Order: sequence, then structure tokens, then C-alpha cells
Amino acid sequence: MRYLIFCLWGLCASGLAAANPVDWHPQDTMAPGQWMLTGTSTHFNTGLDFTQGRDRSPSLRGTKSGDYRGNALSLSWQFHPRWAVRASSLGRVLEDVSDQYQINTWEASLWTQQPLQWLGSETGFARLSAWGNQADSLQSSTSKTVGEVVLTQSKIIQPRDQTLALQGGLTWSSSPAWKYHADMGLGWTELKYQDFQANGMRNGCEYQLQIMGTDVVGTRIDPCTVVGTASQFSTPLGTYGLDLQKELAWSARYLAWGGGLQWTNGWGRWRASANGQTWQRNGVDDIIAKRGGAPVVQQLHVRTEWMYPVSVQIQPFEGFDYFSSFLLNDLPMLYNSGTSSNFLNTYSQFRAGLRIFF
Amino acid sequence: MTPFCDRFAPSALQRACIALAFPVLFTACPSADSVFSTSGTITNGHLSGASVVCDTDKSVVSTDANGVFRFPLGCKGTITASGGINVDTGEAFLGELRAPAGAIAVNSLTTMMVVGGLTEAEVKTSLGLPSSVNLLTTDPAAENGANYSNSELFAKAKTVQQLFQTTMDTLATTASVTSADAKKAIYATAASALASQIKAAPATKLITGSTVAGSTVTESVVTAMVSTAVTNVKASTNTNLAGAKTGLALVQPAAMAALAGPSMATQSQQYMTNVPTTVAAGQSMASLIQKDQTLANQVNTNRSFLSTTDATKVAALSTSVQNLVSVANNPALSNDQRQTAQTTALTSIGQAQTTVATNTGIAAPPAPTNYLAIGKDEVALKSLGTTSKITLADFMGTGASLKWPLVDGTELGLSLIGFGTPVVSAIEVAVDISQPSKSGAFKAYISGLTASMTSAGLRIQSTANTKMIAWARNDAGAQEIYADLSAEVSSIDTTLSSSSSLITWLPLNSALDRAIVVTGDTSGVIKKLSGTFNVTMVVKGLPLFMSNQTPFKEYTISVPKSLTSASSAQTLTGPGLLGKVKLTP
Repeated sequence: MRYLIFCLWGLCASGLAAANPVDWHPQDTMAPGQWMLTGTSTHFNTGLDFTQGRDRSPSLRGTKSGDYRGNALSLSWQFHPRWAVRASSLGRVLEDVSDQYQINTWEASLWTQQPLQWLGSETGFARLSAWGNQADSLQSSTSKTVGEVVLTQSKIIQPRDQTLALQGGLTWSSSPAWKYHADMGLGWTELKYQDFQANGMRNGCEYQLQIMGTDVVGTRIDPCTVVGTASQFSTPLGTYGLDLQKELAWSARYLAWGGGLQWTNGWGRWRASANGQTWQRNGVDDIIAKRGGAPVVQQLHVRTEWMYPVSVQIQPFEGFDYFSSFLLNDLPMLYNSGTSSNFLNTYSQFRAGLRIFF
Repeated sequence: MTPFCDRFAPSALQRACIALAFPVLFTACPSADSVFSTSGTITNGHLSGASVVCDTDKSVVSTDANGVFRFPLGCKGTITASGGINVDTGEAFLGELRAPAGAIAVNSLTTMMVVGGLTEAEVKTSLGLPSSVNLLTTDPAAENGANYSNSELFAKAKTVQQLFQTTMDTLATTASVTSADAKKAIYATAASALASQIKAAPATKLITGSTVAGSTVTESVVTAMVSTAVTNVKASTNTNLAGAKTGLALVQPAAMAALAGPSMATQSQQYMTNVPTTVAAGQSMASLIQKDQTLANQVNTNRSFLSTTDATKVAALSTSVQNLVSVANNPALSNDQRQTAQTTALTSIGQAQTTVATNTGIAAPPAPTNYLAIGKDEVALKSLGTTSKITLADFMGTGASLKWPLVDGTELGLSLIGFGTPVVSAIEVAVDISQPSKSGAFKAYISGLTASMTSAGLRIQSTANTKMIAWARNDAGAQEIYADLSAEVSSIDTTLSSSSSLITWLPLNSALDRAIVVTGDTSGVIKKLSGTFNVTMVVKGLPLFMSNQTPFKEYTISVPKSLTSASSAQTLTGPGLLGKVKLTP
């Protein structure tokens, strides 16, 4: 308990902006055997959009694209003075121009904090974490041109992603009120999907498109009054320059680095952190570049938080997140050859929550 | 004295050279894959898409478009091949080929080694092949440019293969069996029967003669083969042959052999008398001979005579049938020569039937009647005032040549001669066009047409239920299905003349232009086509015969109805023609 109080009033390191969809603090350690339940609600809409990134894209200006509502619940356990684990579940709703994505997310972490005097540090920390997102489908009613195909509707059935990340860093303090940290990490991400369906226009008729092996098969949606149109067609994906496996189910690795600070005073605890990432994806980015697009391989994520402890056990908090490129790492499964341009926009989120210790 | 080891111990320089050379040696070594794998060729005409089984481990692979198979892990045992398409003829292969362990050439000759226990030397001796030829490794249809690498081996392997196939066709038709398993079993029985004859009497060679073109197929060996094959089928416990046993119950093996044997010998000998040296000639000859059902039909027509226990009593008929078969299978004859000769042969057969009926006391079968035949087995093509002929023999053999695209106003003319009172009613039609070694293909199916014989000829009309579906695939693999083209066939009303002196002219180019519109070929791909195309046509509901009284062979065309379900197809089996069309600019 003494350690907890110690932490609450300023000896913890600052929050860690990270790729992980659930916030984590290098020194959010608890007393041995203690549990922490964190509930967080995160939002984005026009009123909260301080970066105005959406408005810089003509096709997204004035739309709901990117509007976000997310609720997360995390349970952490300090099972050893220097080791802790956490499991989280998130339910999120993300709006597109005319569609809505329902996304479920899981997360699990194992981390340790060890005394370490190196470069003036007080402790060293390491975290191994894994998380994944999945949805029943990601549907887009917005007309998209993929290669030479004009898709009037498209739907990715049961998309999911999985990420494994390893981070390590150091913490410092210049006074009981000021704490700092720096970290580096590596991550591996893999996307999968069960099926891809779309509607497209061909010879004046609309067709329902299915991917079958290496072919796209179109079945005419009747009625179509154009005379002499095929009731069904199939075309090798390669004919259109498509390789859906690479475009929708890519894998990647990334390098992350960051740092942050924490200031504690009579008004509560203030945190700010930044995290940068550089991505290397297999296949999809080459395809995007070949089609004249700009792959998004860098992201800067800045996180701020203010927490005011109501009691030793209850800590409400709130803060903002800034992303230089949408939810690049938070929701990898949204990134594909047809959506990559959306990730060029800056993005922000408002977050509020409650931590309960017991 | 310098010790041996010292004398040959490498110097430092030599050791360095060896060390440097090793990587080079490694790269020069064959890959593990090439060491372990077994590759070879299935030949009955090269078989594309045939199933090849390594009998020791039961691994199965398929042949490519050139009949080549490859077992990645090798094959230490005998090889069995079945199925696939004969790339020379476009026909499905219904038999079964075998080869001994270690062989990479699988064909009719290696089959006899396995099913009859013949040695390679025994096969070569019986066929008069030089001892230098390795039958286990030499593909009889191997090509050297436009020619066969070994035309003698090709001709003689074809001769043997034709004996197997004609025995299968003849016994199956006579026994009225159509199942693929039954035909495969008969084919194997024929191969075994010929091998056993060669084994039993090696002194009587199957093929004699000092030159290929001057060689003769020994009739007695063939006759003995047929007799043995019939005997073995009737005695077989193979359940696949149950239907054949029933169908051949009254057939005496010796009578069948006496009637069919001489014709089979004559037919297969065409490959030597007209020995093809070029691949084009070999393919043309194979297409003409292998598709011919004249003998099978004649034996079936006269099967009542085959119950006689005295085979000599069918000898007169045998000679007449042999003449007809010879005419039908001789690639050197023009269509007019063939028509004239077959008329003579058919008259002779009628007379011989009377003789045999007298000899055996068995009533002569009635002459075939109530059928339709394309006049003189040929159609006419008229464009710009000139008329040319396309014969069925050309279509099924060398391939019918067409100048492409068709000139405006080109018409196709034919007469459909009725013999007796052909019974016609509802008609279904299917067509299958494909280009060998390319992906491009087209299939269509029309149902709901009615037909009736009128004084003017055969009238074909649309009904309210007339439907048409079509499937097409281009060379890039893109496919289209047209599930309802009923509007295109809703107003058909055509009468095909049944007079031999009156030809009905059909506007071929107009039909083509309409087809181009229907298939949305705005870039003119269809009119730019060139090359050789396999064409199969099936017409169910019409009793179609060749002019030599042989019913059209049955073919099956399956038109895909769905691109998402491979099992969804419209299948039509019926009398038809399989041939080639050569489009030239």
C-alpha cells in the first residue's frame, strides 16, 4: 500500500504512448498481489477533432469518417514485486463515410520492472504484449477504385489482425515530482480475412463479386436491362493487377521508439509521451506505390493525460491522443491497398476513464 | 620405392585445387530432385490430363499437355495410365496403358510387356523393330521438328494400339455396353490377348516385311487375338465385364474373330501402308482411323450371325466388311473415291449377308433404315460466288480449313438425306470449341427445339421453351456464362433439304456476326482468331448416320452453368462429331 501511495503522488514514471491499443505506464506497478481494474472510454467526433485532419481530405470533409467510440476494460495483477500481467477487452465502433465498423479487441501483456542504474536511470523495464482486432465484416459502400476495378461496395468478411510486441526502456527522475522514461521496441503484425465480397460495375450491369482462389467471380445482380450481358464472369485477379492476399492479409514488422515525462503536483498527475514507429510491410506497400499511392510507414503518437486521485483506490483520468496517421498501429486491419490514403490524415481522440485498485 | 599412397598423395597445390574445385563440382551435380524423380511420356497419341499411377506406392500424377508425367519422388514399380485426352484426335482415352518398372515410355507396346509378360525383345521381334530401339525409354510419338523422331516405331505402336482400341469398340458395341469401366476392362483384355498370342507363338510375327510401308499385319495373329479376347471376356470374373458377358452370351469367339479379325488387320495396317513421317500426317491419320466406328457398327449389325459355331460360314461377309472398313480408313482416298467405293462395299455386304444367312440358317439382319445422313458426308461453303467442300473426313481427320474472318455473305450448304422414315421430335444441341494448348474455349447448349420430317426435308423450329446457355473462356483464363440467351434462338424455323440434289444454304456469316454481338466482342477478338480449333457437336434427337450406314459416335458436352459450383453444368450426351477447324487469315 505504501508503494501504491508513493506511486500515486508522483513517483511513477510518465505514461507510455505506444502502439498498444491499451495504455500502459512503465511504473504503474502495484503492490505485490494487488489488482487494478481500468475502464476507459475513448471518443472522436467533429467536436473533439482538434487536428482537423479529416477536413484536409476533400473526400472526407464534412463526413463522419473516423468518428470513434471505444470502451475498454483492463484487469491487471501484480503477481510478483517486479512482475505483472494484464488482460484487456475493447469494444469499438468506427465510422466510415457511410458505413460503421464494429471491432472487438483483445490484449494481453506481461511486464517487469527491475532496478537498473545505467545512463543515470533508476529502473529498467520490459514488456511483452500481444493484441488483436477482429470484426464480423468491414464493409464499404463508398465507391473505390482498386487497380482497374471500380467497386461500388466491398466487404471484407471476418478480418482480423494479431500483433506481438516487445518493448524495453529506462526510467529516470529529477525530483519526486518529475519522472521521465525512454523506450524502444519491435513488433510483428499479421492480418487475415476469411473472404472478400464486393459489388462492381461491368458493361453497365452491377455484379456481386467473390474471390475464388486466384479468380474474381462476378454474378450479375438482376434486373439488368443491358442486352447480351454475361450472367456470370470470372477473371484472374492478376488481370486487374490484384493480389488480395498481399493487399488485405499482409504481414509486417515495425520498430518503435519513444519517451515521456510525468509531473505530479497538487492538481494531480500530468503525463505526456510520444511514440514513433517505422513500418515494413510485406507486399501491400509495394502495390500501393506501384499504383501511384503513398504507403504510410511512419507514425507519431502523442499522448497526454491528467489524473486526479479521488482516493487511494480510485483514480479518474482524462486525456487526448494525437496520431500523425490515423490508427496505423492501433487498428492494423484497417490498412490495406484501398484504404491506405485515409491513413495520411492526422487524427485525435479524447479519452476518459477510471482506475480502481483492490 | 615410393609407397603407393605417397606417390598419389596430393601436393599442397593439388589440395588447394581440389578444395576450390569442390564447389564447382557441387553446382555441376544434378539436383536431388532430378536424381529422385521419374519423368516420362504417356503415348496413345500423347495423352493430356491422363491419370498416371505408380503401382508400388499408389502415388498419382497427371500428364501435361504433351503427355509428360513426373513422379517427384520417383517410381520404382510398374506404371498404369488411364483417362486423359488424346491430343492428336481430341478424343477421350478409354483404355489403360501399362509399363514395366524402370520404363519412362508408357504406350501400347510396354502395355503388352506388363499384361502379357512379354520381354522387350519379344515385342521387338514380333513387330520387326530393330534391336537398337529401347522400348522402355523411347516415346513412339517423340517429335523432331515437324517430323516423328522414329516413324517406324510410331507406325508400329499405332498399329498395336489400334488393335486394342478397335477390339474394345467392337466388343463394347456388340455387347451394348457403354460404361467406361467396362470399356477399360475390354481394352485390357484385348492387350492381354494379343500379348498372349505373341508369347505362345513367337515364330508368327504380328508384323512382317522389310520396309515399313511394305509391312503386313498378320491376319491370323489378329484373328487369334479377337477370339481369345472374346473368350476371356465371356469367362471373366471381373464385375466390370458383367454387362459385356451378357451382351456377348450368344457370340461365338471364333465367329467374331472370323468376321472382325481381317478388318482389324486391314484397319491397323493403314499406319504402315501410309506410314506418316510428319506429325501433321500422323495426327490426321489417327483422327480418321481412331474415330471410325465402321467395323464396330458392321459387327453389331450382323451380330445374329455370330452365334454360328462354324466360323467359316461368315467368311464371305468378313471380306465385304473388310472392304468397307478399308475404304473408311484409307487416308489416301478422296471423299468422292470413298463414296463410290463404299457404295460398292455396301452392296457387297448386302449380298454377303444373304449368302451367310443361307449358310448359317440365321436370318439376315435388316438393312439400316429410318436415319438421316449428311449428303456424301460433306457440306459446302459458298462465298463470293465460289463454292468449296468440307468433308466429314477432312473435319474429323486433317481438319477443315476456313479462311477467317468469313467474307460477308458466306453460306454453309448441306442436305440431310432421310433413309426410310426417320423418327424425330425434340432436339437438343450442344457445341464445344477449344484451341489445343490454349485456354480459349466456347460451349453452348440449346434445348426445346422441335423437329419434324416434311416433304421438303427436316424442319427445325423454336418453341416457347427453347433455351440457350453459353460459356466462354479467353486465353487469359477469364470466363463468362450466359445463362439465358433464349431471345437469340426464339425464332428458329429452318428446313434442311432431304434431297441429295438440293442443298439448303444457311447464312453462316450472319450467324457469326450475331454471335459476336451476343458475346459483347467489341474489340473484334473473334474475327482475329487463327489456328486450329477442336470442335465437337452433339445433336440429341436426330438419328444421324454417316453415309456408310455407321451411326454417329456418341460424345458428351458439358456446358458450365455456374462459375462458383463446378458440379453445376448442363450435360448433353448424344450422337455427334469431333473434328478440327483451321482458321487461316
